[in-house]
Amino acid sequence: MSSKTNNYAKTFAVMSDVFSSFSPGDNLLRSITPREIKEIQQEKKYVTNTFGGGVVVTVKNGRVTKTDPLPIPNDIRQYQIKARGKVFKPPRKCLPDMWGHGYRRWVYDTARVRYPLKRVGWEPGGKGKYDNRGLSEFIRISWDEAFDLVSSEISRIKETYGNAAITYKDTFHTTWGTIHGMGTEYTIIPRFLNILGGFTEYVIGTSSWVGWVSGASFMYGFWWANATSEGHDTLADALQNSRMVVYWALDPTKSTRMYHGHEMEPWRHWVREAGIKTVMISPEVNDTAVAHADRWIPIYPGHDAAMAAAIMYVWIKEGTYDKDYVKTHTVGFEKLRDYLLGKEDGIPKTPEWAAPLCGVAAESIYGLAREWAAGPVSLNCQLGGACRGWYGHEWTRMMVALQTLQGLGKPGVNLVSWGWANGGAPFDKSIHMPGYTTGIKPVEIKAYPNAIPQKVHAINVSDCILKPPVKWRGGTTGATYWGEEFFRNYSYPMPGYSEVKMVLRLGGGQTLSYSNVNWRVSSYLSPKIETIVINALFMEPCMRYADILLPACSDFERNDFSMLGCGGLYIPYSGSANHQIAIYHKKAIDCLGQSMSDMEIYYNLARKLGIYQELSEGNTEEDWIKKLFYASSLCKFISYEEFKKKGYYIFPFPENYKPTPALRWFYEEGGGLCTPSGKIELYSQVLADFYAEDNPEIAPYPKYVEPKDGRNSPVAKKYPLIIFVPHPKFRFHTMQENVSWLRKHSKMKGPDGQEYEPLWISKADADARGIKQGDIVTAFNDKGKILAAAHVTGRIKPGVVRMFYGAEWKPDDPRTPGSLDRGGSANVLTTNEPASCHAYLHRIAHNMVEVRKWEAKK
Amino acid sequence: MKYAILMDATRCSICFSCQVACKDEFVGNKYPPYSYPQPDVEQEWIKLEEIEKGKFPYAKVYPIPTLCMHCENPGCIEVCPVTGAIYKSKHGATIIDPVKCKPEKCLTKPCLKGCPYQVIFFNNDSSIAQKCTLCLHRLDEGQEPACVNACPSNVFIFGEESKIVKEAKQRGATTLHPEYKTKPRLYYIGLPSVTLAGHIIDSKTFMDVPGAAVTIENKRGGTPTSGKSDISGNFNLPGLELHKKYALKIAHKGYKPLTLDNVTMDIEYQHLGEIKLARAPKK
Repeated sequence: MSSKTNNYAKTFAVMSDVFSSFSPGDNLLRSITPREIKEIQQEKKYVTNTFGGGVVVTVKNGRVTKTDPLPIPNDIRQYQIKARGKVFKPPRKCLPDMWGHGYRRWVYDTARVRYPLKRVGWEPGGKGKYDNRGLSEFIRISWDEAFDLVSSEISRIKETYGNAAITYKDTFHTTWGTIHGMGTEYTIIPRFLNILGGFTEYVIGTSSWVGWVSGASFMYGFWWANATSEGHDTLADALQNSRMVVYWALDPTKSTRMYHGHEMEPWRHWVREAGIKTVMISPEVNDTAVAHADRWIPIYPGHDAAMAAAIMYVWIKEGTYDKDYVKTHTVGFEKLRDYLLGKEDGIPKTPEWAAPLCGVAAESIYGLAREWAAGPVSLNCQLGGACRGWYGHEWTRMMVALQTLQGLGKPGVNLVSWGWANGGAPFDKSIHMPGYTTGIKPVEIKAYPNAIPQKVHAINVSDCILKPPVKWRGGTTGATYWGEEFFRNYSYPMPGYSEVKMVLRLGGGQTLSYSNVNWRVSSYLSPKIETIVINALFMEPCMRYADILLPACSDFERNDFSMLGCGGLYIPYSGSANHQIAIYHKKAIDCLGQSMSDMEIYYNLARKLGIYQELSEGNTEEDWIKKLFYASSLCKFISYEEFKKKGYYIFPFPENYKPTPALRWFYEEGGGLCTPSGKIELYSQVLADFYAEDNPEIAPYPKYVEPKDGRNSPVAKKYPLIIFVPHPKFRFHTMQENVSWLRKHSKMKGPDGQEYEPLWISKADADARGIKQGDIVTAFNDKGKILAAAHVTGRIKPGVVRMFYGAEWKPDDPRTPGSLDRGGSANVLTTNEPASCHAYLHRIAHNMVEVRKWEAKK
Repeated sequence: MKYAILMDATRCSICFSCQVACKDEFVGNKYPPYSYPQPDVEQEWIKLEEIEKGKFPYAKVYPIPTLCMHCENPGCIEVCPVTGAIYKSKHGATIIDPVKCKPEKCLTKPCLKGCPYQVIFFNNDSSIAQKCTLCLHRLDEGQEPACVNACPSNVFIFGEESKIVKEAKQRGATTLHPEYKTKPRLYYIGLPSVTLAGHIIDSKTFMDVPGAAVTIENKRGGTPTSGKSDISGNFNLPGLELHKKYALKIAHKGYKPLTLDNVTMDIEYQHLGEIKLARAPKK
């Protein structure tokens, strides 16, 4: 045995101690019964990963009793960052968030779908009643009957109309898993449909990265990473070299917990401990601002580009931008400069010009511009509210332009995320591991591409179903975003292809996490859709519109394999967690009720349809895990058997670590980006060629675009308030909305004793409407009407109200789209119109509403 | 060994991990002899409040986690009629023995009112009074309490009492409501206090002025409070009195000194906004 192996063996011995069933202490023995001692001895611990972080699951008598943060033993080598006379080290544990801690409550919630269910009134063969979707009851059926019904419906639809008549959509982000994580095209269900001959793809593009993929990517590339730049070593770079960290239009403390929890929260504390200035530019005093910002600059959401333009104006006027860098590293600066100085339209983009547009005082803009120019700034903006709203591509292009003018890639000058996708902690770059987007792609022997070119898009799906034909351009497909996608034309139905007749879905996120709920649901009621089949974990509101519900199990009830915080194939890992931890997700409990894994469900359907061998290539769940293990770096460190037994493996941090800070190579080389010129394109010839220079919604250079239905438009006369809809804090999209422990904090009790979703409103706006703290209010616009409880606060800019999306949708009449939603699901109020003529993507974050005090009719 | 907690609430980012971890630890789980299961939603053994002071655009949020203060002189023990039902453990924790707690002997449930911090709850299902146990069952295992372990921000500093008390003193921490005189074991940094704040900027460049000396005097005498503006030019002077009049003096090298003579503390978090300091003429 080599000395290296010896070290690992020693490590495992220590780890076993940590997780061996514990022995009761003296105190505990005082009045403990023999039965209780037996119970404790039967306790089992499993290491797993949830969408809320890495945890140890305790199981007693076949039930999960709690989840604890996974500890990192003292002898595992960690990274440390030396900066400004201090040494920063991560805590010796994983940092799961409230989702991770509340997982048990979720898994066992009474809303779990435990048996296959069939809607009363639905009949196979397109002979059922459709006008009672949303209202009718369900009856329990056997798995045999469920598999028969679904497989025969798939065959019938395929034979009658062709494969294009079937569409499939996964949920936003699924429960954790690589082989069971069903959130990408590399997973079992799309493969199943492709083996059968393909399906009409239900394109979502993106709804969290809208502005990045449609804007920033045209300036600096990074098409493969949702157009966010590299994350490598941005943490150490900021701690060592930045003078200021600017948080712009995002709330990383709240919004970037996905699949790792609070791994990055210590980093933001370190920024302050290192004596680095911080500022938050946002419509609200969000959680990040509460703990981490020296100062809050309130801004009208979606109007951020005006402020950014004015900052650059100040730099150009005062000569405080990096002129040499601009000369050597960019193309098209002159065009941007002319726009900023007003040579193009006669309007210099001064702070005085920007102030009324963005709602920030000119003096504050001058001050910030000069502070920014005074020293290196790390700009924390990747993944952000402002990219999900009005002309999000202008905000992201402005963010890239700002840092470009200060020498992007120079020590301390970077674009950072410090959240999901882009990490920033030091990590071993030689390690390759699967993550949630990987699926079975690396190990499948035969790939099956989709033979059906027809698509529907998340922002036009109801129009496709209810009033075809529909034509559109762009919107991007799948997970990789290449420039040409924005210029590709689509139509539905495509000549020679059937309209959609059958919908297969996974989970419920598509309804309430996407825009314009009423419009979306209207198509669920269409008799054109003969069969809707959903793999359901919980009876979410939209599940009631299904014809057949197939009970899926949670991630505590199946095996899987991945690395903590790892995006996998198309979201390159860049230090998204403090430790690189490979986890064998061991099944901790039996499947609840008759539920089974999504993979098992589709394996069974494949057996019925005679394609099991093609689908599985003979692999069981365990076989896939084993193959992925051998395709990963992990097999160089530990044997499969040992890994499976142990449940996890923590990669030790390399001894001679050499940091490679993001974009430093570009700073040093001045080229090599994935753009036509290889440089940062402050002026994009690609956009100029396609849209011409005078397109009002997208110019070849970053520009402030006034929202055509915003606060300065005629729409504001009727609906004067901007409703700002960020990612939710207390639920993961719609998941965990039913967890009572979280609802306790996420909801407000109305005077009638009912739970309401809070709506943040400023004192000025509340006073003008006679609204007081805790009042039930209605928020409405042309899309719909919801009830909420008013939280009157100084934490939101007047003129703006804030609600998280994903709340339980409780329409008065589920059959009448547009009827009052008492649950306060904010997406009832958001438009499904594209973000711009260029970005055929969701625009969830910014819309206009009016709010009034609610008086229930007597 | 006795334990205490120092709570640096200024680090709290209101993530609720502590609160939900407490739920996960205790709901449906019993840890004899210390506790019977916590009910699903009714009780919060640790509570996280966001106290908002100040006015837009200078709203100030004080996140305050509260739990049983595990007082040295607890009000609950004093009023409990059942001997030994509430006791002090050797760790300093105040424990309600779930077996000895007999509400039929004390129909008025005096401990609920006897605790001035109102951290004791009554469980209607198991008919006992319940509250935070300082996770003694975890301490027995050599683990920190669940809330402490769950915090990603190191808000909680948990440890041996004398060390914690020493650090608390050094950092100017105070207990919550010392006027209750129950000698709590929880010390806080960042409790709400009547505070005058401002943002000092250069009158010409509008850039932050860090390091400026800020002094405030009660117009009717008393010791002046002083501080310095931070790296972003902000100052915060806590510990003032509401509705009192103060004089504020700002001085910084290279700038003309500035005095604001009539600052009245109208609200608990009074922010003066941008205060412009003018450069002193060069000699």
